[in-house]
Amino acid sequence: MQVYVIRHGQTEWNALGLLQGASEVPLAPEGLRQAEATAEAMATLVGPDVTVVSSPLSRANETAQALARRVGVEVAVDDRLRERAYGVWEGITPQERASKWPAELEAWHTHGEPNIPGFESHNLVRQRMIAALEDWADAVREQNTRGADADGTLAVFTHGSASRVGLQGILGIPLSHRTLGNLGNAAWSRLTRRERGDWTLERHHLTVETVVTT
Amino acid sequence: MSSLVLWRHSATGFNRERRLQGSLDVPLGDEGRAQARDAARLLVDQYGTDVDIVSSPLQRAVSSARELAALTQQDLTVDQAFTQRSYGEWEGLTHDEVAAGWPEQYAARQRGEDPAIEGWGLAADVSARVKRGLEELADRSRTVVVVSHGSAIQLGLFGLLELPLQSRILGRLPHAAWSEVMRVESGAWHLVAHGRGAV
Repeated sequence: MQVYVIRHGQTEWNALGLLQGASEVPLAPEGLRQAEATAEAMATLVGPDVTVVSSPLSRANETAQALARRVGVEVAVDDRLRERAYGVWEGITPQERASKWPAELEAWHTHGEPNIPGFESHNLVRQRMIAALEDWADAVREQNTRGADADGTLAVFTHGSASRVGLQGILGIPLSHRTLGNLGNAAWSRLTRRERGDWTLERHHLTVETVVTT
Repeated sequence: MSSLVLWRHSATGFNRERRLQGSLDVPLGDEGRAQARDAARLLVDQYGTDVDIVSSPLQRAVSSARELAALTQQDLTVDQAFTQRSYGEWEGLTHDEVAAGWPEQYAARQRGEDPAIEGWGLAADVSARVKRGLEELADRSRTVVVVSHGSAIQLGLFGLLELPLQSRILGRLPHAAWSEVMRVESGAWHLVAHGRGAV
């Protein structure tokens, strides 16, 4: 089974370098444009039988809708795909973060976990992302009757940190450092899933600009 | 922080016949050169023309690298560190021929293990060689495009990222596609992208 993991398009806060986490921030006009461009490129890759599932946050959901509209399917919502909560760091400037929480920021930059109110731990994010990816992959396989070689396609719309932690989690890569880089806005990765726990990262961080279309 | 782009050579006639090449020096051909040219345009879109180009000594890599060198007006250097692993006595044979002649060893290979055949380049050796070569390029001020081979890049990536050599964590890079790695302040490497240039 082919599983695509896609990050939402750009928001105003992304452009300003602010952490969003659990905050509701809609796509900016540039984000809507990115969502449409990614949807156009992906529509031919995923085909009409794709299952589209999204984080409940509007920036991911709007990005998912762009693809769903093109292929004519509904978007399912799964709360486990929401972004990692950054607690008190959400919506404040990088300067404010650095001046008020220098030690916590250092811990975060070296892939540790900052001790600030409301920060969701690596493990919690990893567990819910793995569960969501495995459960949706199971559901898609069960719906699909075309046999083992073509057991469906899943497109999962989520967020920067949630996707990176989810990818490292599902591939069994420890979170002690950032082995995989983050996805940019409206970028995607593609995985092959053979069985529960048996995944391969085929592509990572593709965008419409990096795909040969000739 | 420096970026390395690991670009796989484009497809040769042997690749299209599903023949193992390894250390055999198979030429690229016109189709392969055209494929390299398309990818080179995309590489320039991504990284600009201000890049260093380092290639495996094998013709299929050098010919791919030349397409990028022509487009960017940059020199290209050749480094033995990025040559392909040896497939020993299987070189020149098709996958079907190998599967028929060495069923057990072929199955071991498909599981990612080193088959016990004459002349085979061991995964650990190839990984260490490519990793060493890549680390030597890490401190350059410009992006470096390294033109190499499927197994060599795969094993070099596993080495840099400290992933198990026999794992199936990363898929095989398609011909003329590339990955990008970056070394961060801690000295660890991370995978910025994998399989760009392909769908």
